[in-house]
Amino acid sequence: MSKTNIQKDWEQREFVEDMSINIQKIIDFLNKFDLATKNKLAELNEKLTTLDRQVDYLEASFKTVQSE
Amino acid sequence: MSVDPKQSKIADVFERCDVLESFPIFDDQSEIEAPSTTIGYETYDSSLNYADRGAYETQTWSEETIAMEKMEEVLKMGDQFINMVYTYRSCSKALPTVKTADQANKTQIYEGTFEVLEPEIKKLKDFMYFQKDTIKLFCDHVKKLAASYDKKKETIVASESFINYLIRILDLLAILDALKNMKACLNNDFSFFKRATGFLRKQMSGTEDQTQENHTLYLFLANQNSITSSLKLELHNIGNEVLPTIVNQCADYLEQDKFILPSEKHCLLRVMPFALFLIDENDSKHNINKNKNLNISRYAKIFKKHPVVPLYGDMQITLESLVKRSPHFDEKAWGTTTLDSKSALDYEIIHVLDQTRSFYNDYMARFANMINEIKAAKARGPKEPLPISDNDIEHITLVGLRALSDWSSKVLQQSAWKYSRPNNDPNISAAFDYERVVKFNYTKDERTALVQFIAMIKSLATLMVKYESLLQPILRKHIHHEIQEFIQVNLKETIKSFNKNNPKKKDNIKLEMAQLKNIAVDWFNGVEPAEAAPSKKSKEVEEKVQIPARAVPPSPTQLELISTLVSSLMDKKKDFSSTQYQEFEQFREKAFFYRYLLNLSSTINSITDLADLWYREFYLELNNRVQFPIETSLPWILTDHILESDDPSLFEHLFYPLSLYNDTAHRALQELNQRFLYDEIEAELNLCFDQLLYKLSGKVYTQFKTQASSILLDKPYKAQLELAHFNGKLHSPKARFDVLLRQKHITLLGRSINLNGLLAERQNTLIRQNLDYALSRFEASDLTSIVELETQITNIKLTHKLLAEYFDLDPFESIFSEVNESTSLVSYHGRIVLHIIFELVADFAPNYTFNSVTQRFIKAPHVFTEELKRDALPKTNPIFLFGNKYLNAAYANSIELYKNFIGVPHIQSLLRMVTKKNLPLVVAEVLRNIEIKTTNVLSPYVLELLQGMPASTKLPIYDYGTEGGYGYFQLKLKDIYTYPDLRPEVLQTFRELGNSIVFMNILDQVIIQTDSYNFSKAAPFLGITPETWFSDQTPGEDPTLNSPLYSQLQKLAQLLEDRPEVAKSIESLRDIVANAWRADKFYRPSENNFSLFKSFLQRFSSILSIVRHDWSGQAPDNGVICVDSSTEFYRLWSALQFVICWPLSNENDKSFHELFGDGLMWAGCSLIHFLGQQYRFELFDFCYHILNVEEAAAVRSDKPALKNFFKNAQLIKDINNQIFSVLNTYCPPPPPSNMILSPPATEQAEQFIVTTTVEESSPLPQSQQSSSPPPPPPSAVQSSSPNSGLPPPPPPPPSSMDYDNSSIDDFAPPPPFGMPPPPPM
Repeated sequence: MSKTNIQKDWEQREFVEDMSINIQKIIDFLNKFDLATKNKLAELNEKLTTLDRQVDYLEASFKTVQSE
Repeated sequence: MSVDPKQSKIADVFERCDVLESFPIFDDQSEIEAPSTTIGYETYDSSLNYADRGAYETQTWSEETIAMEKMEEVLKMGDQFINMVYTYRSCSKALPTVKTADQANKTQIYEGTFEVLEPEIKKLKDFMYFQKDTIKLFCDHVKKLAASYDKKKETIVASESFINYLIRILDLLAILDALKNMKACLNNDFSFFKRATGFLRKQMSGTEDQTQENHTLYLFLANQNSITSSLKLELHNIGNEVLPTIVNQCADYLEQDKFILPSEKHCLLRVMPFALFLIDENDSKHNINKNKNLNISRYAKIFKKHPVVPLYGDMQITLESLVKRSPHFDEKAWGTTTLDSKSALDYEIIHVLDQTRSFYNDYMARFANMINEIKAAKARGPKEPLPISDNDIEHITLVGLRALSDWSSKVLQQSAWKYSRPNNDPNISAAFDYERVVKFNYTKDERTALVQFIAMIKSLATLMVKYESLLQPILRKHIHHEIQEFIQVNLKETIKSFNKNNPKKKDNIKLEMAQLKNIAVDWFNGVEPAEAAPSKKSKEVEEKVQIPARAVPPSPTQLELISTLVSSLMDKKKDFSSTQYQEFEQFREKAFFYRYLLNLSSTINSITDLADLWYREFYLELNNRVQFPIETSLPWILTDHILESDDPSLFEHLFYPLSLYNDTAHRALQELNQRFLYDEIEAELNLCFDQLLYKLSGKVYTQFKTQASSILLDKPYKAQLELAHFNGKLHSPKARFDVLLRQKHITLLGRSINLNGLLAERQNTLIRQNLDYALSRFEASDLTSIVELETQITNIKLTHKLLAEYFDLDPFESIFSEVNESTSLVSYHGRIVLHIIFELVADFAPNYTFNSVTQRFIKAPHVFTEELKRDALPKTNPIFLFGNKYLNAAYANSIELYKNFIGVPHIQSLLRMVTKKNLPLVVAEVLRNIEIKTTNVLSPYVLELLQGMPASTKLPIYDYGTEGGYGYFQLKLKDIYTYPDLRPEVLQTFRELGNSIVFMNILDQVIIQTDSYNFSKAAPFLGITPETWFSDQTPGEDPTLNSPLYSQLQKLAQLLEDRPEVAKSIESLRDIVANAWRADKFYRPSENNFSLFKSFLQRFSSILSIVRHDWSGQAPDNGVICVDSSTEFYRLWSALQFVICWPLSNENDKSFHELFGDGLMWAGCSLIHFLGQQYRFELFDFCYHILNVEEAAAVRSDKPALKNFFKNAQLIKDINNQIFSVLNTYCPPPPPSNMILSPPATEQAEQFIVTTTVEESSPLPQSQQSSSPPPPPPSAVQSSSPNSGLPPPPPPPPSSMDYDNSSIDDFAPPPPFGMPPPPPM
C-alpha cells in the first residue's frame, strides 16, 4: 500500500519544521547577541565620551599655556 | 541505514545551531521592559485562509469552508473600515469656507474643497457599499442555515467555526454602526462636499447618478444606527432559528471559557445583546421572552457580570442598554440591574491585585522551574527524557496564556468601566471630558495597581516569548502525539465498534469517521498497519500502537477540519456510547487551544496588546480637539505616578507603562495604517521621555545626594536628631535604582536607548550645577560660610563617588576645576580663592574685631566701610543643598554654629579649600593690601597726627597722682580725640593691619597643626619613631634609604625581579620603587623649620621700610633719647592708646575696643616692634605711666571714669605684653647693639658702654649715634652734635642704604630672604 498524500505531507512537513526550529534557534541567538552587543557598545561609547570630555578639558587647560 | 550525504549535511547544520544555544553571551542587565526582539520570526502561519483545503477530502464541509474563506476576507476588509472610521479626522475643519455669495475666489474654494474631500467621500461610499454587501452576505448565510433547520432535532447544520464567523460578522457590523454614530465629522465633511458639488454641478453635466448616490450616502450617514436597522429589516422573517443558535453559542463559549484573546471574549459579549436586539421585533412572533430557544435569565446573568464591555479603542458599550431597547424587554424576566458599587468590585483591578500577585509569583516560579528542568535535561543529552511530561508542559503554558488573557481583559475592562463612569466632581477643573474619564478617574492606589498589572502582564509575556523556541518543539510533538493518539487509538476503536453495531446502517457517520481518520492520520511506517485478526490478543496488539514522534503541527485548515468533523460526530450523540462521546468531547476541548499554543509568540503579543489604553479618537471627536496634552495620557500618567511615588518597588516597573507606546505605535503602523497617528505617538513619547529623563535624573541625584549627606552627618548628632525630631527621616531611603541604572538598552518605538548613558550625561551636568550652586552661595556670602562651602564640596565629592559606581563620570577634580574656573595651568585664580581674597581684603580685615581670649573674630557692631556688594544668593534648591528638607535642617543647624564668627575652624576650612597650591596667592594679596594701606592711608595720617601732637608730651611727675596725670593727658590729647578722621580712617586702617597680622598668625598655627597631623600619619612609613627622631643621623646618608616604605618596596621589587616567572613587568616594579622614593621625600619633614608667620613678619618689616624713616622721628636733641616730646611713632601710638582707653561719656556708645577689637593693638605693637621702639614705648607710654602711678599710690582713686580707664588700660597693657612676646618669639629683636658714647672729641680716651635697651639716663649733653660695631666716622659725630638754638638737622634722605643708620637703637635690617616664600611644601 502506497503512502497517502496526507502521509507524505506529514513527512515533508517534518523537514520544514526542523528547518523552522533551527531558524528560530539562529534568530534567538542573533537577538541575544544583539542585546549583549548593544550593552557592550554602550559601555564602550560611554568610555569614549568620557575620554572625549577629558581631552576637551586637557585641551582647554593647555591652551592657557600657549596663550601666555 | 545508509547515510544520505544530504541528510548528514543537514544534521551537521542542526548540530551547529545547537551549539549556538550554548554560546555564552552575557547581557549585564535585568529585563524590565515588554518583550522586544530585533528580529521576529513566526514559526507557524496561523492565518486561516483554507488555501490547502483541497488536500483534505471532506464531503459535507467543503462548501462551508468556501463560505468561511469568503467571510475571512470580509472580516479583514471590515477591520480596515473600522480602522478607517475610527481614525477618521475631519477635513472640513481645516478648509476655508465661502462667507458671502459674491466672494471672488468662490469657485476656487469650492474646487479645492471638492478636490480635497473627494477621496475621503470615496472612502465613505466604499464603506456604505461594504456594509450593504456584508449585511447581504450575512443574511444569505442565515437564510441558508435556516433552510437546513431540522425541526425535530431543533438543530441547524452548521459547524461551530461557521457560527463563529457569523458571530464575528455581527460584531463587525455592530462596531461599524457604533463608530459611525460616534463620528459626527463624517457628516460634516459630507455636507461640505455636497455644498461644493452642488455649486460645481452647474458647470458639470451627467451627474445624475452621483446625486442619487450622494443622497443614499447622506441618508446612511445622517441616520443613527442605520446599519443595525437595515440589518434588522433584512433579517425580518428569516433566521428566527439561526440567531438564537448564535446567542447560545456565545453563552456556551463564555461559560466554558472557550477563548484566549481578550478581544475574543469581548466580541462574544458584544454580540449577545446585539443578536437579541435583532431577534426581538414589534410583533408577538418575535419575542425574546417567548422564544423557547432563548434562555433570558442565563444571558441576564452573563450581562450582569459584565455590564460594560470595551467596544473599540476608547469606546465602550453597556450591554443591558441594548437589550433594554428591545420592544419586548421585560424588567421582571430580566431581573434588576446590578448596583454600580457591586460591579465596581468586579471591574476595579485593585480589588484583585493581591490574589493576582500571589498567583503571578507562583506561576513565575512554576514556569521558571519548568524551563530550568527542560534546559537541564537538554544539557544532559538530546535524547534524555524530560523530567516533566509533555502534557504538563502544555498545561503550564496554557495556564500562562489564560492568566495573561485574564489580566489583560481585566485591565481593558477596567478602562472601559472608567470611560463609562467619568469623575463628575464639579470641584475638579477639567478642561475636557477626557480628563474626567482618565486623569481624574484613577486614584493613586488604582494607578499603582494598574502599573503592577501591566508590569505582570508584560513581564510574564517577556518570559514566555523568550523561551518560545525551547517550548515550541515540545508542544508540537505533544500536539501531534495527542492528535495521533486520538485518531489511531480512540477513533479506530470507535470505528470498529460502530461498524460492528451498525453493520449496514448509518453510512454517513461511517464516512465522516473515515474522513476524519484520513485527513489527520500519520501512520508509523507511512502506511496503515494491516488490520490484526480479531483474536483475543487484539487488545494487546492495539495497545502497542506505535505513533511516530514528530514535532509537526497540523496545518490550520487541517486542525479546523478535524475539530469540525469531531463536533459534527458529536452532534449525533445518540449513535455513540457515553465513553466514546466523552473521548470526542475531551479531544475537542483540547484541540480548541492548539492554534493558540502553536503560535505562542503572536498569541502572546495579541493578548498583551494594551494599545487601547492610549487610543482616544472618540474623545477627540467628542471634545473637538486635535490632540490632548500628555498629562492626560494614561501611559504618561502611570509613568509619572511611578516617578512621583515614594514606593521604591515601583521603580523597576518604570518602563512597562512606556511600553504601551510600543503597542500603540505598532497598532498605528501595522493595523490602522495611519502615519499621522504614529507621528503623534512619536511626538508624545519624545516629550514623555525627555520629561522622564529629567525627573529620573533628578530623583537619582537626590537619592545619592541624601545618601552622601546621611553618611557624612555626624553620627552622634544624627542619632540625637533622630530621637528628638525626625524619626527615621535622616536615613536615606533604600531606593531600588540598581536595576534601573544598569539598563543600557531599552527599546522604545524600535529605538534602542542607552538609559545608563543618558543618565550619566545628566548626572555629570547635575554635579556641575550643584558645585556651581555651592560656589555661588559662597560667593554671595561672607567668609564665615567657608565652613558651609567645605561641607558642601565634601558632600558633592562623596555623591560623585557613589554615583561613579553606576555611571561613567568625569573625574571629580576636573569637574571641580572646571566649575571653579581654575583649569588654567599657569594661574591659580579659582573662583573660591578669588572670593576668599576679596572677603579677606574687603570684609574680614576692615569689618571684624578680634578677641585674643577666644581667638575669634566677630563682626564689628558698627562698620566704617561701605556695605559690600556681593552677588545675589542663588535660588534655594533643597536638592542641591543636602538632598531633602530634613537633612537640610540638620546641616543648617550645625552650619549655623559657624555663622557668627571667624576662628580656627574657618581658617582650617580655608586652608583645605585654598590648598597649599593657592596659598601663596592669598598671602601675597594680604601683604599687598597691608602695603597699600600703609603707604596710601597710614603714612599721610600718621604724619598729620604727629604734627597735631602736643608740643610736649612729657610724663607728669608722680606727685600729680593718677587723677592729675589722667586730666593732664586728657587735656593735651583732646585735639586728637576729637579729630574727625580718627575712627573711620586712622583706627580703621590700623585695625585692618592688625586683623591681617592676626589672620596670618592663626593661619600659621593651622598649617603647623595640619602638617604635624600629616607627619604623624606618615611617620611609620618613613621609619620615624620617637627613638630615632632624637638619635643622631649619620651625616651624608640619605635617610630615605632606610625608611620602611622605600626599603621594603625595594626589597620586594628585588625579590620579584629575581624571579622573572612571577614578575610580569619589571618596568612597573621600578616605577613603584621610584614612586616610593618620591613619596618618602615628599612626606619627610624638612630640616628647616619653616614658619609662614615668621616669613610674613619679615615681609611686613620690609614693607615698613617705606615709612620707617618718617615714623622714626627726628634724631633726639640730646643725641640719646627724646623725653619731653618725640616725633617717633610710639609716642603717637601712646596718644592713640590713651584715646582708646578714654572712658565712654555715653552708655550707649560703643567703646573703641568693642569697635575695633584687639587687631588694633596687634597693629600698633607690630609697628612699634618692627620700628624698634618697643622699650621706649613701654617706658614713655601715657597709660602705662598712669597705671604705674596708680600702682605706687597709697590711695586708690575711686572716680568711676578713672576706674573704667584703669580697666581699659590694664587690659590693653596685658594684650600688648602678650603681642610683644609673640612677636619677639617669631622675630626677636636684634641683640641689643652696644652704643659707644664718646666724650667730646677732645677727650677721646674715655669710653663707656651703655646698653641702649636700659633706661638711658646719661646726662651727657652730647652723644654719638651709631648703630653697629663699626665705629662711626668722626664726621658723623660732628654733624649730629647739637647746635644750640638751631633745629635738629634734617634727617638724612630716606635711601634704603641709610635708614639702618638713622636711629639710635634701630632694629636690625630684616635678615636676607634666603627662605623660599611660603608655603615650603
